[in-house]
Amino acid sequence: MCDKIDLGEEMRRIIASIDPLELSKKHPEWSASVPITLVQKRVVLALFVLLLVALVFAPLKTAQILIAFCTIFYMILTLYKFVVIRSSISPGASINYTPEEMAAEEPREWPVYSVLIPMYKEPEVLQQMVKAMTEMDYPADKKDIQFLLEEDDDLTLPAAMAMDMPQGFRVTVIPESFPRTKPKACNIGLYLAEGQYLVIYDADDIPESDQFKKAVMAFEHSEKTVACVQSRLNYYNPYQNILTRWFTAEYSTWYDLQLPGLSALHALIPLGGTSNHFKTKVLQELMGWDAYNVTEDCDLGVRLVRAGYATRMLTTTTWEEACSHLPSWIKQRTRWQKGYIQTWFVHMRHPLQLLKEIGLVNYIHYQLLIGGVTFSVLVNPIFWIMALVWFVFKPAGVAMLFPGPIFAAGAFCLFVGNFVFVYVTLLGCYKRGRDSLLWYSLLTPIYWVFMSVSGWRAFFQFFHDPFVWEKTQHGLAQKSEG
Amino acid sequence: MSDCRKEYKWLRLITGGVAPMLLALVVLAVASMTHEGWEPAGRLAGICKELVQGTTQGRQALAGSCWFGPLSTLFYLPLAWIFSARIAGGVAFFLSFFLALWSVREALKSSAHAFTHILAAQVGISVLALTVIPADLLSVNTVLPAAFFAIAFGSLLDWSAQMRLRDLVMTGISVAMISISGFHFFALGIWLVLSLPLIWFWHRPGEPLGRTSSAALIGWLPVIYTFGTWIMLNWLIMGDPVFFLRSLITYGQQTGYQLLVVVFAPGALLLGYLTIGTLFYRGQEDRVATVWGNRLFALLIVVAAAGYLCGLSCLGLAWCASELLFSLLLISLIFCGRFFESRVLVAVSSAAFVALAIWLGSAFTPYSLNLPSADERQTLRGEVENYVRARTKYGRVFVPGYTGLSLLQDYKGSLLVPNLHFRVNTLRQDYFGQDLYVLVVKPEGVTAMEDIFSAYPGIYQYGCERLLYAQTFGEWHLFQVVSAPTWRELQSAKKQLIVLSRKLSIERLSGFSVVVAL
Repeated sequence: MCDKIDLGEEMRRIIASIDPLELSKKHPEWSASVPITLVQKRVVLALFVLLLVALVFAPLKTAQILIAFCTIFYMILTLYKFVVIRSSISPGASINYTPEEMAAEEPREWPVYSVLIPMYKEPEVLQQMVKAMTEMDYPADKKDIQFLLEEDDDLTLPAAMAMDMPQGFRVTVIPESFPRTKPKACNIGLYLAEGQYLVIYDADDIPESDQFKKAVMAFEHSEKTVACVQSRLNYYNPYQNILTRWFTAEYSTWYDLQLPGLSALHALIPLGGTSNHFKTKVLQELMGWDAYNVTEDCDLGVRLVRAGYATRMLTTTTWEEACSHLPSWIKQRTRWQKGYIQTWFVHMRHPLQLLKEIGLVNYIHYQLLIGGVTFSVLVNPIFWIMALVWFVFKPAGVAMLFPGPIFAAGAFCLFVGNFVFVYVTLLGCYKRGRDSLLWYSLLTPIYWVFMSVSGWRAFFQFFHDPFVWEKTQHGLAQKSEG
Repeated sequence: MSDCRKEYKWLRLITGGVAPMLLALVVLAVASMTHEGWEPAGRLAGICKELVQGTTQGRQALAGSCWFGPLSTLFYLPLAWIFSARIAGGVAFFLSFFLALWSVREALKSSAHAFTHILAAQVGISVLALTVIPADLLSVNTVLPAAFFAIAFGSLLDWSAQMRLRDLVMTGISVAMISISGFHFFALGIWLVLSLPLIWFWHRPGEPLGRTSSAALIGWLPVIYTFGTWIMLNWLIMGDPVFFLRSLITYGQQTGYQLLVVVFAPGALLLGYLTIGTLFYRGQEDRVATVWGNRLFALLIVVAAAGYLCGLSCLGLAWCASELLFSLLLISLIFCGRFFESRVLVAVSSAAFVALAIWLGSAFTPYSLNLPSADERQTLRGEVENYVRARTKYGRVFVPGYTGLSLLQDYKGSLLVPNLHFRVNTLRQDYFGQDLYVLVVKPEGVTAMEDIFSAYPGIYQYGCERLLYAQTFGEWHLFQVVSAPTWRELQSAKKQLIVLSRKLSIERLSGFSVVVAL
């Protein structure tokens, strides 16, 4: 007997009693409900004024100092990337189970596993998702699958009502309220979850069938502080067009090389938006996700570390749809970049306290991963333009901005740094087995231009419209072999 | 932590940290004490002095010659910024020698009796470095490429055995570093990456072509990119993308391109032996290698190495052979440690290679760079300054080439000036009105590869247009740049005068005729 949509009074009362904004109310200092505090505004303004004054009174020296700072930052980022990638080949980089080890676990009693699947106006992928969850290799009576549908979703709700869902599947209707975000919906689903473990999936996800079992085993065999295991994400439509090829190359590098490298270093891991497996109690203890953060996953990854917990990588893949439409891709990437900016400002409200809580090493990881990546996509276009102008026209003005050692450092970043970033993308594709993508990876610098466009869009949106969630449209994929 | 793991950590600390550090320090100390006037940085100090000052000569020296690759310069440059010349040289040599010994450790760690082999190899290399390699070739330029050779060779063997991505990457990157060490290194190193697809096809015949091309791309891309960047730097700095290869072309013309035959024939043999060797080698647990296969492999190494060094020596490139000797020594010891399980066989084969190295070192590589010591440089500069100042107050002495940079590395004056891209007429225009001189070293061995001898063959013996012989200072000839017009210019001016005077005569005659008519 399946659990259909229950819009009865009892359920409404239960849902109404759940406060999905508990985090922002009880711990506003951890929430992006206030995007930037007054103190932070004053600091930013002061720095901006200082910069203006310096540019007016000593323009050349100021420019040289700024460029020196950026160049040194690029060098550090390049070396950091090398260290992380090098660490990804360590034995402990990713938790892996062979089929023999999986088989040795049986027979056993598996715990209840909760799944949250937030959806909004996506009836086209509902069928696929139900099929994927049904095919998960896990006892049917131990699955607790919740489809989180918004009250005003006049497309997905009727489709869900019309479906005959299997045992363990149910729909939770999210009452309409501000903010209308995925994390807010997930918070409601979190408090209704019955499982010992919990995972969140996007509407278009197709996880590998043994993912639940692997996650359970990973939690049971890891230290108690491991509260989250992150699966690898990749795309089932990599060859649709050049954008999906670049996107797949990027994901392959991030999830198959960089995140395992961070895991091997026991570093803070910015979670992916999906396929994060949690210990339900720990997640409830942390009051779930920040409803105001548009990358609630990244923020949660930081809060886990602040609370003394750890995340590990799990060798299992969830397949999802790569955005194939450039304007949609830019909107999606804008949201991600904006979320990183939000996350950085939230956790930098008390920088010394953050340092004390997560330690110096993780603090450095945090600055480079969250702040550094955002900073680099913003300043990249400036340096690209300078390099292009210098190569073509060789003006003395550009040379004056790079004195002595800074010129050498800049040359290192230009010739070595860019090569490292492109080469690492090739390695990610090779590791994932996407051989034909290697050649497209050589054109990755063009992809970086789109990332910078999104970065600047995110920067302005952060100040102008911080909570807007430009939803990614799914269902456009032409599926190819997985 | 288990006992095995603890023991492994200790062994790793000793062979990968303590021993290389101590041995590098010992070599540095002994070389400083026994080799009088030894300068571990070689010619790098002079190049980096110009780079630190941001001069054009520095940038030209960085990229302008295939014989003096940028790798060692780039390695030394940060140290030149931080430390004084004396300390920077010592630190650079220590770091490069440490890297060489560490790379031997990495290459041998998966061999049988690894601890013994590694320590023996490291000690042996240190002793041989002090005894076999000539003093002025025992420098960063010799040791650093050798370290990358060892990394490349070890990674290639590991990749052949286990087909791990990391080994493929290390092979590609280390050969990329070799490719910018110098042409003689590049000619050997390139065969390592060229063998990658062959190894792949042998071990994985059923793999799709896409996978093979991906592996080849990952292995080759670093070399292609690095060498391509070198070409681009030549285009940006010298205005000619193949400027750094010009001396090679000139040398090839002079020797009838025998150099290419010498380089690439043994290179093909090396490719053969590398391929055969890696095909036979499948790691310690699953070995297909036969005793005779290993011996054939060793024989091919000996033949190829000896042939390559002999060929280079016969072509007057003995200095290349000396620089390569250290690299080949490392590779040979790695080969012995990886391919033979029995300690006796390893010891015997290693001893044989060491004996060969000593024989080659003495018989075929008697050449040293003859770089002047600090005192000799000062004496020479003083003599030249005195000579020029006795004749003019407004003089400038140009010292072309990398040899010039070495001569002027610790020079504080302004009379002597380095010049990488010597062209007489350009200097006359740039320094119009000054008395100019050129100090040219004898073209022998490595100095024969300087750009000036490509542009002006025979300049040392005969001078060239606009250069008059002035004085000899040991191995150096001083020429004076003559500002008087040449015979051609005189003839051309004479013709113009004749034309002009005829024109004037006609006009005068015309004017006279008019007057007469009137």
